[in-house]
Amino acid sequence: MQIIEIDHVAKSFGDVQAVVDASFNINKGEIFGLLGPNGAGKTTTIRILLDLFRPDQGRVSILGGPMTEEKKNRIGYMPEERGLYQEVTTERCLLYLASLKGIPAATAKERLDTLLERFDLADHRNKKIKELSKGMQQKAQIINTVIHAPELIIIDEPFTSLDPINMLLVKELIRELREQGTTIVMSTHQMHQVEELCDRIVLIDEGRDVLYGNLDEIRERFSGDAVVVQTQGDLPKLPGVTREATNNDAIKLSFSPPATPQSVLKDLLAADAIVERFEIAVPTLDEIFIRVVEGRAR
Amino acid sequence: MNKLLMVAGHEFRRHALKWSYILVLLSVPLMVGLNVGLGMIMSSLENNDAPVGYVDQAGFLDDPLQAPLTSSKERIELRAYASETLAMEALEAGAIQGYYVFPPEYPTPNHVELFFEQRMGDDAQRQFFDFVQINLVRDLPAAEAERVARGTEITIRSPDGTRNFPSSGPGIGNFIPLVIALAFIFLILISSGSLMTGLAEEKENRMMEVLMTSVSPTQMIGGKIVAIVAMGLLQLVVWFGFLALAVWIGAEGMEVEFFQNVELNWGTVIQIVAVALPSYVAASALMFLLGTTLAQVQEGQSLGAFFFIIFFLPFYMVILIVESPSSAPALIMTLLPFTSLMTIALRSLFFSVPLWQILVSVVIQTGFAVSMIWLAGRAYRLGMLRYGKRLSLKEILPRRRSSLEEVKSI
Repeated sequence: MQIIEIDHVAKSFGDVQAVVDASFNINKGEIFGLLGPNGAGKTTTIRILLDLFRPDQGRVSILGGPMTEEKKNRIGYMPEERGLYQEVTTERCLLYLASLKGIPAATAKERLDTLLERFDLADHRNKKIKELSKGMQQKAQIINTVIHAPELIIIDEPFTSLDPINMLLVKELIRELREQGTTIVMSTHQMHQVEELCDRIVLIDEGRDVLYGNLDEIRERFSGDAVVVQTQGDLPKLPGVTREATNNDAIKLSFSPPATPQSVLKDLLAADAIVERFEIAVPTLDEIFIRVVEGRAR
Repeated sequence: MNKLLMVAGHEFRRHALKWSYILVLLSVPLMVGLNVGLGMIMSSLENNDAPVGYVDQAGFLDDPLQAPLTSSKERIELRAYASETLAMEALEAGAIQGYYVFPPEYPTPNHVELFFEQRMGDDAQRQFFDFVQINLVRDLPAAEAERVARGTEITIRSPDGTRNFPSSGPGIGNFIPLVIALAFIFLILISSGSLMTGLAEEKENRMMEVLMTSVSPTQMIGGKIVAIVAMGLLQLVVWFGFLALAVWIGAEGMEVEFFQNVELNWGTVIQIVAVALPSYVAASALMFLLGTTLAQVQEGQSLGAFFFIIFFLPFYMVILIVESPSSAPALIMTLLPFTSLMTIALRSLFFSVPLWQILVSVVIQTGFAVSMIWLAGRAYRLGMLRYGKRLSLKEILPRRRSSLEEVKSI
């Protein structure tokens, strides 16, 4: 079941075309990565999705149709430009924001107590937001995003300002929420986090969706032009190989057509190399990201 | 609970619990209390209830009449002494606070000698004056004696007969419309100022985006305006409650003539409130507009001071307005937004402002308020996500369709 449908959406601000043509769907219960270089149009797409901006063209469906006031209670959003009432205590601020999401005060209080304990903020509940460190404010923002148990969570750069321990805490929370059936849309530049957490992704560049689909399938799609080889003795010189790079105990060989993994293996055996390991190299998301974005730039 | 009311409740607590608001709320009661307290202290210092003596060598007080009490509650005993020596002994013994000596030829010339060790109380002197006065005219027919004793009585009346001032000057009732106008202006400046800084703060703190995914712009604007109105009403109730208490203390406790017989011109009060309400809404909407368009809180605070000057512009021209309440500048300021409230209040003090002028002013203020709300709504939709950037008037005004459609309408 699709929880978000974005169909050929475009948006411009004056002469600046922020989103040119973006289309993608997000399934219920998945963690979806919204990727792209700076200024690609990710935040604008999120704001269109949340009905903060009206698209110039295209159609958006969220939770089964256009955005309504009632649906706002079913969505948790943590924007990139974060902020909370600086002069208000953490507890009061979070309870107020939770009340705006339509949950009863007693439920909000109960959930807040649990979340403050979990995020190690219980002792800071009576401190004003401005008295919290940047990391603590970030955790307070995350609490604000999930306190009303939303069906859909949209988080922009959730790991910024977090130390490794808190990063782990947030990752655990994200996984836990997915297990409970929550759909999570995550926009981030940290590719290793996407690889670790996301089921599917869309890569937006210059306002267009340039890569979209299942993460494993995408990685597979971009594999096939490199192999990881481990041999006894020196590696012979092979035709078509354009680059050799050490990869732990093995060597990563990149090649260009007409060379193929099969031809490389054939050439290795023909050169009497004793092959101990031969596997098709799967590119990292970082590599795919750079290859797609730089390839488009060229 | 309705989200609009939640926003209103939060905004009310956020601003009303600030020290700045509490101080302003209590400033009028404190000022009134201080004045009443000082007045009471001064009054008690100036009065002395000890007996007053007199030596009547002229013999006109042999069988004296008692003067009726006017403003004093306690009658001060007036003691006759047969000689100056006896009066002096009584003064030195502290039995009297002072004594008067009437020479044998009194009242021609009408010189009297007064002896005291410490300055005599005002009340004692006033009662002794009334006592002498009633006995000097005791041979006249009763009605004439009473009229002479009452002294001069001049009533100043405006040419149209709508304003009367007794010889003692205007009473508190004459000033009430001006006080109401001033209270509204302070209310507008204080409460809408906090609205503006609150909005700029939300923008500066990057709160807008989070809030907009929880509530609609209508709920947000409505909630904030309800909170501002509630804060304003609380202020008005507290201020006028204490003012009424002070008037009561002044009239009953201290018997200050200025506070007695309060006569309110309800027509003028209604006119002032009719102009004040749309002015209040217009100012709040304007502050809302500015708060949304400004990039920083500090800019909002600077603009607040600018509006203070505009609201009080008629005050700087008070001489012109009072001397020529029907002049063209007075009329223009009666009709213009922001200056109308104070101008009408000042003109109403001495002059009955024509009803048509009041009606036209109310229509202008209402139209201006509606325009400001409309513009504030546009600015809010356009400017809520413009972090650190100022929204220009050019962008708010409906000139370019593309810029208007940047964000979803309410």
